Amino acid sequence: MLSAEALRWHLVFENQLNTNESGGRSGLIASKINDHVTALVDVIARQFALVSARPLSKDTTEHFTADLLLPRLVAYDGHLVLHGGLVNSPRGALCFIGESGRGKSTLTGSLHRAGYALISDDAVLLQPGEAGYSAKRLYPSLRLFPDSIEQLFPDADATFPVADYTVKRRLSFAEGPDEAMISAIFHLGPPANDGRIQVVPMPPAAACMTIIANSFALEAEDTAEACRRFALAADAAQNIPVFELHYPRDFSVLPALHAQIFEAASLIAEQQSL
Amino acid sequence: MTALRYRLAEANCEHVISLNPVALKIANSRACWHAKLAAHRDQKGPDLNSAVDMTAPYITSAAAIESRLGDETVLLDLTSSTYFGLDPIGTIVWEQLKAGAAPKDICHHVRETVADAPDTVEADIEAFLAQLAENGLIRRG
Repeated sequence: MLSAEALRWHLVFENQLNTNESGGRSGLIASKINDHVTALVDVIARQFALVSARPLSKDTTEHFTADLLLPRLVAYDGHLVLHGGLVNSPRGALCFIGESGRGKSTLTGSLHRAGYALISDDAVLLQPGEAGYSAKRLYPSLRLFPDSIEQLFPDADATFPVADYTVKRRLSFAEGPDEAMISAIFHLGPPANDGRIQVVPMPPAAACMTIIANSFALEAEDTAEACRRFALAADAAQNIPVFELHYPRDFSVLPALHAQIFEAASLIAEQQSL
Repeated sequence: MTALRYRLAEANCEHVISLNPVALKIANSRACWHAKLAAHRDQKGPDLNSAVDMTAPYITSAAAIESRLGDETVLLDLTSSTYFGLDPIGTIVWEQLKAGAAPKDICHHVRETVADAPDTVEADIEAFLAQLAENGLIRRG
């Protein structure tokens, strides 16, 4: 597990952040966490503070730091970090990305329930290597809405709050490996009009933009960071197959969806072995 | 534009990538890792009456950086933090623009090099150029 401290980023109080001679702040990046919380990041001193109109609980502070800010800090340090879940399989690791609310955690949780090792449910660090891309978790977590817990993990011993503003709950789970070679990325699109499950290969330009749209950035409009992320995403899109998933958001279709996902993964494996 | 469009797969796929750029504008109002995919069909179409001079060369924006992905291209316009995806024919047009070709010559080139170029290629390319100009990606030379 990577922590902010291990990456040499340090949480401080707001008044400890850098100020210039006139008392103003210099060299700070303001990164909006949500409508109520902003992270102020001093990228020189590698310090950050969470600024909120109201006090944050310990759980919420940890959630904002580990789940929402840490991936951006890792991205700022020059890495490609996807907002998605990751499970391992005999065909390699499978990553699921998509906008919030599209069902990433439910799908990764359901695959974990079906016997596949869960590596991450929210943030995935992609790193190129000679043998392909590896995918690594930033931290182990499994967070689900109550209805998903009831359907997928009815026998869960205990669940824990994630943060003050969400009803999602954190579950204990058997941690899989920290990282694995990735074989495919699946983007969770909207359900198809006809209710069918579809697994559709994405052309490379669309794949690149989808990866960018689902990756973390500390300051998305900063030119240097945007160029860096663009180059990383383009390389990933050329080297990792990306699919668009369309399926009804219905728990009963998950087994059939799993089957189609693994069928796509098998086809990739066959093509790569040729 | 239908003839030049291609679908990601067969029918019922929601996302259609066309010769037109598909804008991926970084959303400022939400958490910053989210970008918003503005699907072409939801965008206001180009004003076809906006004057695209088919005989004069255009200059591509220096603020547009690009990445070639197979026979497709993604552009990042640094002035607007917007990404644009170009399909294979859009990529040919972009390459020809960079080489200094005038639009009418680009049309001819597409007809010569694309096996199933549609009858509407001139109108399609004119509309594409209008969109590029509208988004600040090209200007008259």
